[in-house]
Amino acid sequence: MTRIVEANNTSSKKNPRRRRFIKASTIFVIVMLSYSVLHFLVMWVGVNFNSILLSFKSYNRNGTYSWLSGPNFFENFQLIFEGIKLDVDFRRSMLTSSLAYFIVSCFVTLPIALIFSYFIFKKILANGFFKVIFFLPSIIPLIILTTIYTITVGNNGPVGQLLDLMGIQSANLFVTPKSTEIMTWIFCVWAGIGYDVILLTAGMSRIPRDILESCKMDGVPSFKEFIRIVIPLTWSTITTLFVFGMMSVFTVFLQPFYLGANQKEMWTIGTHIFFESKSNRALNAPAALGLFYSLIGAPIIVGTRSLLNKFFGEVSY
Amino acid sequence: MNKKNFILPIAVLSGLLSLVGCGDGEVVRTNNEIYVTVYDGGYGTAWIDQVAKDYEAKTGIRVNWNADQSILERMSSELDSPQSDIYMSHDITWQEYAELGQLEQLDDLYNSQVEGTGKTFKQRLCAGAEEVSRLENGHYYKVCYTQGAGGLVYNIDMFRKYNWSVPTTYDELKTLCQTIVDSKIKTEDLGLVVPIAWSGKDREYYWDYIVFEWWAQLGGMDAINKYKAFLGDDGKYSTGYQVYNPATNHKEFKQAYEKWHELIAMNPSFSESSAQSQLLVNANTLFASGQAAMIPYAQWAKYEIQHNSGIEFDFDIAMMKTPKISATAQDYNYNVGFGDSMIIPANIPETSKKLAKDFLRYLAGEEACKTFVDKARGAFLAFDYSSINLGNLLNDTYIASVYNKLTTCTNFNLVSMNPVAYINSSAIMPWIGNTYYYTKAFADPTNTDYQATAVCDAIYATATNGWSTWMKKAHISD
Amino acid sequence: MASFGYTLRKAWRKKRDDIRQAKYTHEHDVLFRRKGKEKALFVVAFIILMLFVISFIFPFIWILMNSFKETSEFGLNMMGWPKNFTFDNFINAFKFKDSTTQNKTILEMLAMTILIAGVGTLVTVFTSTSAAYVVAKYKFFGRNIIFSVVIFSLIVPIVGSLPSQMQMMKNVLHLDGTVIGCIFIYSGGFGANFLLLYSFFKNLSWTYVEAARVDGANDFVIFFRIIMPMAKGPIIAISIIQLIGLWNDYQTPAIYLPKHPTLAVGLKFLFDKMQTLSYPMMFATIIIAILPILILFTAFSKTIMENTSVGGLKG
Repeated sequence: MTRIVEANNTSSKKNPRRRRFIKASTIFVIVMLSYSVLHFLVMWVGVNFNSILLSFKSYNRNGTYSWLSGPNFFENFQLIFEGIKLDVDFRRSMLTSSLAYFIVSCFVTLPIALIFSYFIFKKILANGFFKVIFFLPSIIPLIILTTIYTITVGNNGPVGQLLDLMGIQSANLFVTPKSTEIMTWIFCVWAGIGYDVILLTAGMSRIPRDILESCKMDGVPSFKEFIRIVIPLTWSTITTLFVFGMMSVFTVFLQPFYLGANQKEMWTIGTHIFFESKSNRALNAPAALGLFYSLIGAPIIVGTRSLLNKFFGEVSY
Repeated sequence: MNKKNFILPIAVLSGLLSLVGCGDGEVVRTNNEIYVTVYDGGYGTAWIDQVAKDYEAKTGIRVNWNADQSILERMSSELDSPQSDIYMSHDITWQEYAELGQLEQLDDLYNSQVEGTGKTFKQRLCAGAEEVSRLENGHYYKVCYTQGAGGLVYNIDMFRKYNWSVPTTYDELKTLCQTIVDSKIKTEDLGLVVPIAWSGKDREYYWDYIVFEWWAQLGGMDAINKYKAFLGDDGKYSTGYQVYNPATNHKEFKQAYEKWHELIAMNPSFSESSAQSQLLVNANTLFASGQAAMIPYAQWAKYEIQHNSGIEFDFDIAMMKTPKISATAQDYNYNVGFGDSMIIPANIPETSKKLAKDFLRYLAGEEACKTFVDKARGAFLAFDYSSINLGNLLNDTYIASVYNKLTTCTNFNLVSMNPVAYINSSAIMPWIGNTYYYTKAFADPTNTDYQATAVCDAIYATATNGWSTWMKKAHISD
Repeated sequence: MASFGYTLRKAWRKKRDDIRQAKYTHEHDVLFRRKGKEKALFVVAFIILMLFVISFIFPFIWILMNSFKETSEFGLNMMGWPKNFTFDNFINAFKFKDSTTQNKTILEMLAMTILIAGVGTLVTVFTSTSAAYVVAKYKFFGRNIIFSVVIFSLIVPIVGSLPSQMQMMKNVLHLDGTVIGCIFIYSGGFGANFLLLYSFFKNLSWTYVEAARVDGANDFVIFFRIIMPMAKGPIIAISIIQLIGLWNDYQTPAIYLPKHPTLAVGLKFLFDKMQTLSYPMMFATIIIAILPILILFTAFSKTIMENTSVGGLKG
């Protein structure tokens, strides 16, 4: 059953040693793969399957779950719809608060990061230093970044004092939901650009030198080079980052919590699922919420990815 | 990486692995000790330390106590494999745990005699405590922890020095605040004394203790009891959201908040600057160092303010009766933290349960009741203090003021025994969904979103819309 | 420890040489000579980038500076140089613990982090390597199925499987609240690392293996003695990226190990508490917490940077 791809090409088919070989290799393959396969079966297949099951159960006050049936079969999902229809804060979380992170990541952070990356890629003065600094937000725990951010920008912080002088009351920045949300978006851009720049500069570094040299010879202006050469040639990285940005609708969950403390108005889908799971015994509702958004999110994201891939799909180098 | 480089980290890690261990070992209980976990908060730990010593001296049973601030987050997993025999904390959703069978039933404790008092445990409870400790099935599963008092705490010496009299009405309070602002009293570090210090960042809800009393003053016990029942005008569970109707049932609540808004939000100079983003510790420090005349607080004020600020008061303090909002109003006292609980897990050995009950019984006795007031510096256990001689404890102005408030005002609490309310206790409360407005209103006083009408409309809308979901969670259909 | 120190020193020396070399290339490369309008554009861009970078560095410098102040001085002198240098904040930060931090000091949190992130990294890198190697180089029944399913799982976003995962960890696997449980969650071999290693093994020349096979080496010997050393580069890179990812992971330890906080979890407890006690002590804690990662990063920055194009950084 088991064959070694390359070894197969060299060893004669009638080699009597081959049979023993197969057995040993089979054992090897099984040993090497079994843990990962098992882990995958439990933690991916099993967990997601269980998610579906949980979505169709109700939680009893004595701590058990029972199957939903009849007209109540979709109760957990009905509750989500009802919540979205009726509960203002929930609706905000599920729709605008979460979607905002898509706009922020894809249409603010990513374009800025693209421009920054271009200059770094073009070896602007101190580019190596910039690259190192852009790495920092990715390696420092989020809680440290948010703490530093609130302390510096907030009431009495060095930037906060500056803002006060400019007439922006820094003491209010993290108080009302509206300004906290804006502050969170700014944080996400500030802390998120680095990650995009890392991947983009890595993508750009694969652009062949001769293309750039001929650009230089022909005197192509920077802007044109950026639009016509650099973007198409890093399109796959851009697509990846765009998809990551879309996924932030579902993955951003700690930033609003760290920066907004108890301001539930600005929670995202992720924050809801995390805290509902953490603080509730009843896991059916958050499971249904997760499933619901997977069903909506997955096709959109996968679809966008393939659509974007077609854009400059023919470019190869 | 060569082999050597691999081995080193692995060796270090395996060393660590053995050091840190995996999971937690079970507590090995013996027959002459109990384990108690208390929430590490405003009551401090001096009281449990003293009570434990007294109890051990009396009975020979050792009380191993530990104070924990994160116990609530772990409560449900704790009850699965309890490390303690008694848990004392606020916000324990004991009804939920009792229904899950995780709590020891306490009927025998309630009916037993408390030594030296001539009364049963049940009779030793303060008024109102019994009803909120009994499940629908008629059995007891918790003991109320403290009977609270809330309101404005003030600096007596400062009031005396400047000849300010303690305000008895809302208008007097307003005038006093204005007087303090106008006096421009300079403190040692040249800051001006502010009327009120409070923390918008992490304790805005301390304002509840005043606002709720205004609510009771305006609506009387009828409004409070109607609210607590969480039944609709037709007496049904399904219309329980109607208690939030700002035009009818919640009218007085709205008025109370409106009055707060008028006093505090519209007069930024009455509070310290940027109160909206001040931490509790900052507010505490202002008060303790004589830079603020008043501070909204509950019974744990004296301990917590000194503890947080690290400043021992060099002046006397007292809690005032909340200034009356109207001429006809009566004095009310909001029993802050009346829903706090002492529980015994079901999943511990029988002998430990017996000892734990005995310890709770000891708490109901005179000695422990007095020790608590003394060491928690002005907080009272939820037992009847009328037959207890507090003696020279009442020489402490703060203890005396709390005692006065507890004994001369009409006490009320907001603990509901309606299953819809207690199953959804994190959402169903006066500020529905646990959404407060004090800080936002102070930061943005002219924003109509944070003014009484919009706020109470929003509360009513949230209640109306959420009610069916909350009913479903409580498995109640009508 | 000596060998670790040596590795660090070596890495540092190499880094210095690289910087020198890069500077030389830059100065003599026709591609990067600019004049006129283009030069002006780059000057403007430089200023903007510099401002952005300053916004990152400045808070850390400010925090470092203030971590040497006494608490009382901080309130009065936030922007100035410390009048009395004190290391007390660092000493206190190392010692601080109370019930909000589950009675764990930052050192204990650090130990927990090293344990979980370290073992987690070792295990997952090992399982990824072995899985990627076998799927890339051996033909067996189900190989294509495995590959497609794994790709599918990596492409299709699953939003909230956390509730279900929690239920399984608690009721089925009984690993809730254990270190092993956390490591188990990290230990899968089919994550993003798998893809990176898969493509590496796909392109790996097979001549050494053939030679070894002729000498009679079995599959295990070949894997451990020949393949692993050949894959040293990508394995180290993945390990570091994985380590940083797990080091900063909040969700898994927060859910499954509430009583034994790692740094990412425990720092929140520490900060919440220290804000009420002493800002300088909190700043000292921040410095202590980022130092190990900064050292690791500085030492291995080149390896890390070269290998980030493929995998994600956020674990």
